[in-house]
Amino acid sequence: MKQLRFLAAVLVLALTFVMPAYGAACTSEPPTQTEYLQAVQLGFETTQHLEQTYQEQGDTVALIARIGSLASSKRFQRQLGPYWQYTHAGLVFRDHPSGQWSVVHLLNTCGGQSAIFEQGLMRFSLDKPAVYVNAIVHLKPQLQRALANVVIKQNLAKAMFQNSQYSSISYPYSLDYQNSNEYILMLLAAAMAPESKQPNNREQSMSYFLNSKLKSAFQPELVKVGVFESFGSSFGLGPSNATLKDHTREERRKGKMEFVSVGSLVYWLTQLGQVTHHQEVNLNRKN
Amino acid sequence: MIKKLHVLLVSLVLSQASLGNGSNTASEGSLVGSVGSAMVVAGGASAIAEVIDASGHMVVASVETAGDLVVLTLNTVIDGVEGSAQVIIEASSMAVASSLLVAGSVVEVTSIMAVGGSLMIGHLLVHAGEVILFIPQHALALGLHSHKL
Repeated sequence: MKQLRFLAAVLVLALTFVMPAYGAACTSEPPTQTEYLQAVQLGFETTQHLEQTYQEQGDTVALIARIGSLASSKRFQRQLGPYWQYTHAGLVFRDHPSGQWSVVHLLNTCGGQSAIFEQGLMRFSLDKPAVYVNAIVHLKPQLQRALANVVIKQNLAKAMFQNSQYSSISYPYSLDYQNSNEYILMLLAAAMAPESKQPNNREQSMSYFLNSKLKSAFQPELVKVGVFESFGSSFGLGPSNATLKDHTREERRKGKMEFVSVGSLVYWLTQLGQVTHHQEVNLNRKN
Repeated sequence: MIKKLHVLLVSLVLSQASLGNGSNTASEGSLVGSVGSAMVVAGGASAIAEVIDASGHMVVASVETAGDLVVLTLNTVIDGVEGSAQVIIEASSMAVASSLLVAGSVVEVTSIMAVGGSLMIGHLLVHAGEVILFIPQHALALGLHSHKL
């Protein structure tokens, strides 16, 4: 009995520390004074960059990403694109009703729960990221207009969420669970659909994604999951914001789970020719 | 790093003695709301406006509350010059009225960046009675807002 308890404890610990984490725990320490100031500065510098691009090119919508936690390079098997280590993506809109330069994104609020938030850029940086850096991926004008149409004009931000259950490593091709980056994938897919097939909710957007050229251009990230982690997960052990239930037997057998990462989003958008340029805004890399 | 910011921002940092160790159970999605924010709706923080590119400290002379309003009177010493300022705060949470923001608290003034202009109203981030950060109104364009759908 003692051995079983020990094994369970080891499994819980292993899962807790190795699963990629995207959201906050149910409780967290408040930011320190320094963290507040860094958030203000990063918010300001990101705004400056976005405003400059707006002045020069008229860009009003972009993909934004942050490094919420530092993922081990051994865990991510594909390390897609220049931003593979970024963990969380959102879409930032200049002319958003909630405020200029608002980020629309899905946040893991607690365990398997999540919600959609519209937040300013300083607020976006107040979640105690592992590194005070934002990646900005600028998109083709037509996609920007389509995203503004989906999110602002048609107000479909919540419809692409549909109160989904959260899993940080959700399987990209099913509706069982959703992570933050998969939510962005659904918004982007809806925006890239032709007007005649315009998805109005997550289910329709997923259907369009799966049955169009969008899926063939998409390459998910692979996260390595050990035998013990997989075993523990099947018993409900491990982090409350990650599950393997929606993944295939083949994935579990190989110990490599597909999921939507920031890297896979950027890689996908690049493959589709939807990226004009990209840049990091990094407080730690000043001249 | 910080000095390179190009927007007015004056941070009022309570001294270590008055910072305390406030706890917080804010989750990722509701941090600012949980921390407690207070909009300065009236009164001139004129002394604050004059401390740009300066340093000093303020002593909270009095704290009066009237409903959701808190009137904060500050005695200031900025670059060796004494002054005073009165700030009226509309509390968005009960945090402002709690016990740590009391007369006698010392507020350190740190000028973080400056490009000129005046600073009259702004946003005080307050948690458990502690002033964590003051952000001038126009700097709110940086984006403190947060809406849950």
